[in-house]
Amino acid sequence: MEPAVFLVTALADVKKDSFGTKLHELLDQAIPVRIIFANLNFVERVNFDQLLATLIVGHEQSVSVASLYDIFCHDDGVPLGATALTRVAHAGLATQRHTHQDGRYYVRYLQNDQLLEESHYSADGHLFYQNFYTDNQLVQAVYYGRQARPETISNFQAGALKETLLLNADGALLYRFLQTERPVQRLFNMDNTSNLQLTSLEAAQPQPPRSKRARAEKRNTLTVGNAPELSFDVMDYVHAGHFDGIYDFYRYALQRLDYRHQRLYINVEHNVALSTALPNQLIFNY
Amino acid sequence: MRAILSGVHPKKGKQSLELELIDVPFAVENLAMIFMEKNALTSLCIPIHRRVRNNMVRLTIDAQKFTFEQPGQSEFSWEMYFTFNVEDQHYLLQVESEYVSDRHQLTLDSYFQFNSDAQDHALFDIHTQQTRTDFAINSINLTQDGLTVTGYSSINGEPLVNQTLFLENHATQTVYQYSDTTDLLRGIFSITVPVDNLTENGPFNVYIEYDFGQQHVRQRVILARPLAGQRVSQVQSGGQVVRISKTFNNGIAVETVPPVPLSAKVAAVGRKAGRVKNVVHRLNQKVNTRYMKWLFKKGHRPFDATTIIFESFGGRQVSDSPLAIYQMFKKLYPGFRFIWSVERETVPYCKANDIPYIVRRTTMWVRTMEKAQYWISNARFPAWVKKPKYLTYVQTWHGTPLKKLGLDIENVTMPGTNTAAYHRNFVQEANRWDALISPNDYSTQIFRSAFGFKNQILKVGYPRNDELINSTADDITAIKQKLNIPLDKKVVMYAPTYRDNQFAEKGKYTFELPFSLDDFQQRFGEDTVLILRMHYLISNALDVSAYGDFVYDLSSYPNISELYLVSDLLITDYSSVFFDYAYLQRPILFYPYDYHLYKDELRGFYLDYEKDLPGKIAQNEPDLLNGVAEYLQQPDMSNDPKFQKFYERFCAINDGLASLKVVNYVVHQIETQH
Repeated sequence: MEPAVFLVTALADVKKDSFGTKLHELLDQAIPVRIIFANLNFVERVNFDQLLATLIVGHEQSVSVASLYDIFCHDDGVPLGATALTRVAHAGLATQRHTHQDGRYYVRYLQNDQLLEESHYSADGHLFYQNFYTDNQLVQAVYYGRQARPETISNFQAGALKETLLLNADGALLYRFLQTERPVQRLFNMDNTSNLQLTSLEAAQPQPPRSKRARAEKRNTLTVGNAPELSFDVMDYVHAGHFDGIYDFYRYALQRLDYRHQRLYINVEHNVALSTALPNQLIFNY
Repeated sequence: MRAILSGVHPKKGKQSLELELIDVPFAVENLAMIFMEKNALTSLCIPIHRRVRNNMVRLTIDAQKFTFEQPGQSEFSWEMYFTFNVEDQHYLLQVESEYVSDRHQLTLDSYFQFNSDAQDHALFDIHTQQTRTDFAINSINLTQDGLTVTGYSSINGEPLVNQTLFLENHATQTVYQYSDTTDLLRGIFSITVPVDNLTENGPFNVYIEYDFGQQHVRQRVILARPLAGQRVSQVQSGGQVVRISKTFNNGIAVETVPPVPLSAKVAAVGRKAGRVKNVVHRLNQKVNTRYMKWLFKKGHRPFDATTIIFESFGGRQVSDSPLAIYQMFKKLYPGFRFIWSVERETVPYCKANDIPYIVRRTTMWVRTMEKAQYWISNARFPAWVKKPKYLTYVQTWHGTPLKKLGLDIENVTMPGTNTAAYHRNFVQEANRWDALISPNDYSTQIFRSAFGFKNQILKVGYPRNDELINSTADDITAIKQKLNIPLDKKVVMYAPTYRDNQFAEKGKYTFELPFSLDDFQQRFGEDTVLILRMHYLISNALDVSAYGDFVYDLSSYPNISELYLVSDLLITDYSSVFFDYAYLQRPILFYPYDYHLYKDELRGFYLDYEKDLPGKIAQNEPDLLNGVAEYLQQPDMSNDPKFQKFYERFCAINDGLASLKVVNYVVHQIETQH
């Protein structure tokens, strides 16, 4: 069997039962698995690593993780603006340090009662990420990962993620992911036994018709889901090209990994959007 | 808004699918079809570029791309979803279809079929890893001209040539061969074999040979569906009759029988009269049911004395867990009143064994059922049997489930009902049960999902299995003596599942065992005997008189537990008997001789047939005999890790006190209600 690639776009993906089940099916057959961590909130990478570690005990050698930074870090980008990175002068600030049980720790920088910065370190003193605050609200998170330089910068408004900037190995800007919210209508006609469910629209889940007449009527009835959809627009600083939304970008990222010769696993909730971006591709869902 | 699969056409080794769209807007974008494989949850999106007319679209698929490597999976069932956009509106319509295509051979060992599920949605089913030794024909008929066989003349677009049909008599080694092939329709060949000149009675088995690409192929001719609708007998000029029948593994047997004597003709008139009697009986039943319904609707008051009604398999038997509970009640609480609800045919048995009974479908039965305080049954009562408010209904059920049940059956194909009605009736009936007995956690979980059951589950083990756990060596000796089984011989029991396709018409065909009794006797006859436990229809058609004290046909013996107790080895296939037999921790050998034909149905099983069974699987006759030899040397399976894993999962409740626990439950109910 060909090697497998799992696309993870959110922490919730890894928490699904079926993620662990499918992963173990492969690992038990000694099939190498690569996981693409394409979550745009990079700070969640720490939680992801912890969750994954509990899932792959005994199979650590068969699993590798690649982030979007790993895939694109050698591409050429545009220089980052001078104000893109928040800087806090530490002189004269009060500091507090808290150490977790596993040795990880963070240092807080405070000006009186105002939290300005929180820097998170691994047990060996390696800077993982920095959170910056204004009026005690998170405004920017800079993720370093295993590099000594920033990989991504995420900007927040009122505590919510607004944009993520993906940098290359030289600190130049490659892609900007802008979070958007727009009303999207989904219309579908399916039974409750159908496998392709739009599970994010729980309120719009179809119900089985109770009588023969209801069954006949249902055929012309569409169930409508009207939830506003959170998505990302992608600004491309590498080719000045245009991506038709985040799923088109995922397609491009997978293409860079030559996904056609690998067994691709995605969250079934993204199936409709992603499989139309990847026509004629066999997709395994979790 | 709907998308309907309206046509499938083969095109240069690929398939062209046509969809009819109803109420779909004109200005749509990004048309595509998403196929979703139900078992592995795998999808494939095929963009649609071609819109034939306004309401018709067409796409081409390559069936070969719809199979993939997945351990344990050889059947692929794809749902279809039609998707498109209109600006910010995304549409996803599950494709409908009521069309069931014929099977289309994809390779020598795979085929596909377009199907329709219970909700009339389209399915694209691909069956792989089929046997390469079988050739499935379209039809087989006897006409004045002879035996006519039709079949597809290509495999996925590549033609079969030089088809030759062989009729072979294995006993005499006689072979007839015919190769006059004609095209019945484009793509379907037809061969007619003149049968007037068959010089032997047969039976002849039918084989086919043909050229396919560079290969010369020889295969056994099979008919995958029943013979219904085919013309299976033809009187020849000499008065003898030629007949075709199906063998146990779907093969075709042709035989000639001498002219029918007058006495048989007279007997046939008698059978016809019997059929008329049956029609009258069915009419009577209908009238009776209406009367029963009316009686049940009348108000009743409970008996003063606590009365418990027992029923087993709808009154056809006095057996199983209700019997074990009844016997425990008789020992411990003989002061209560016990009555068995039985069919009329069971009355002689009750009389002979001093069992109090009431005959079903009588006025007295309705009165007794409605005035009793407890029902203990192992199967469902009809919906029209009204359960009074003061009554407690204990359902013992009749086995650890192997085949899917109730709500877990996605597509119900039983006559007289549809999936929705069947599911609804199951849930309604199940929730009349106040308590349901479960033998293990596995069953509990299934009962909850399959029956939609929300009441009390008593996980106490099956009362009928107490006997297996509590019996001693002396008890076993006594049973052997009763059955006339020599005490110095080992006992092998063969208990296969009854297959619907074994009888096209009741009593018409002679049943063939799927292994040779001669070979079996030759190898093990010296120190072993064989017990056969078959369906009664098969038992009637089986003649084992030539095997004297080697084969014991105990198909109609009332207590199967006693047969388990005397057996040193069980051979079975898909029957759930092995869940009970496993309590004895003795070897079980699985012989699914028609596994490749049964595989489709195995998807309807709760267990993984190849992984979860507690014994070896014999694929063919030599395997079977070697397996028997091996297992007879290993009478105790308590040290076999795979067996033990099974035992711990299914037989963990092995204290032999299940009947007592059920009796205690009922007695507690009686005490709290008084």
